[in-house]
Amino acid sequence: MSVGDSGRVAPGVLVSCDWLAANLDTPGLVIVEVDEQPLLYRLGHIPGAHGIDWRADLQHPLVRDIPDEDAVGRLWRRLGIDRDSIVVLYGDKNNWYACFGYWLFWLYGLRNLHILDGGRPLWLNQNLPITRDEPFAVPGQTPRPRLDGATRAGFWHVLATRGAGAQLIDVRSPEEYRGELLTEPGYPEEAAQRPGHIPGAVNVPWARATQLDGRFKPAHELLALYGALGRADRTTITYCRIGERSAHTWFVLHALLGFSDVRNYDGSWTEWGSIMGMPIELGEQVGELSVPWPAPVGLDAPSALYQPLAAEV
Amino acid sequence: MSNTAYYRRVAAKEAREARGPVGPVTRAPSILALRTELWRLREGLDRLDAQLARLAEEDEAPPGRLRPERYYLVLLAVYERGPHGASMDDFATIGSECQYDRRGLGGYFAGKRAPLRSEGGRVRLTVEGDRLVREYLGRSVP
Repeated sequence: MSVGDSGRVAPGVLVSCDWLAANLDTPGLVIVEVDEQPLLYRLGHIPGAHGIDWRADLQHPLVRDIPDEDAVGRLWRRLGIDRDSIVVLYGDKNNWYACFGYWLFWLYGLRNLHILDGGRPLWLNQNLPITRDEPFAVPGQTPRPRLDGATRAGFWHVLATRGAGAQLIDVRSPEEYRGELLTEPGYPEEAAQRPGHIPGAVNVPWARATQLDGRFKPAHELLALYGALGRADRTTITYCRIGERSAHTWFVLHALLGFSDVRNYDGSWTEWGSIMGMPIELGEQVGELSVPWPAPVGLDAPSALYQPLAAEV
Repeated sequence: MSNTAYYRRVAAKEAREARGPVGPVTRAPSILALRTELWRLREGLDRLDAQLARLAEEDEAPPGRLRPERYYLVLLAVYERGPHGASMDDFATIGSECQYDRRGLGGYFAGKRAPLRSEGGRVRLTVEGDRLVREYLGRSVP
């Protein structure tokens, strides 16, 4: 990680509102807005920005999964992303969904990615220009998406962390972590069958990484927040309820703090808390994944399913 | 002790002193008693203002519990501040930009289905507030 003169994470991955406002006409710049409420884009957006709908564009249309390579390729073509593009993502809710977009694009091999620090709220609060005009993208040489699973975790990866020194971070609210809530009020469709957290996971709610104005906290504060959890050179897995908030924390650890092996478990609690026989911890206790491979009562665990992390990389 | 309890205790003491040991005595009210009365009146005024604002919104609203656009614009502006919400001063500015005075904004925090809540000096949307923002976007965005 490099830190700029101001004590903030150096420009590069993060771009400021001032920088973006001064570079709106830069050739090759592709600005993408990703909101939890996609209709916000049509109320007004950064000039030249494309809007994408996280439900329609960043998820598989049928099964619960991320979109496949072909779908991502079509999306990049629609956005006018080519091999030399500088892609800046931003959105509402302090870039919650923009970071999910960043994670997904990274997963498919795009590297010149950036997040607008402060996202849509800060841009609006600074009274910077907005428009309702939607840009027309000229398709260029769209790069072919190539899935690199090194930043994604399945539940079997999480189980394989047992005794392997990996770190689990639950970024949900403390009430969800303790098992007092199945899901946050307002998101009933994301409830799992059982409350609680994955044994071994520590709780660091995602929004603690941001300041009141929506920007990420300065580097030393992020280091204080996450550095105490463990080592940057160990495998770290983040999860939340459906994998979006945990993409925000994944971004902080991977892109801002330079943790070497960070994975987003996007199946997250809706998956873990609904699978038969999975170990669960309640309350403040972190717990430990020390049980044998889980299996529902009376059934044998399909051991071939549970491979160590290294086999997947 | 809360301000309310303190003022009530002082007012009762003033009243006892005014009556005196042998019955009512005509005496000019003290500054504290006047302040107490003034505080009660202001409190009542604030309460009535909030009720009035709520009733006015309902009167303006067409059937189906639709509220005037400015009502939703306040909620949208709070949403656009992000998950940390708006500071109290910022919220007053939002209200003023939508033609609400400070007292009129009290209605947003009243009732079981209040769309806003105040916490730690920040104003945030409740679940109901989030729902109203979605409803507004779905209805009004072209």
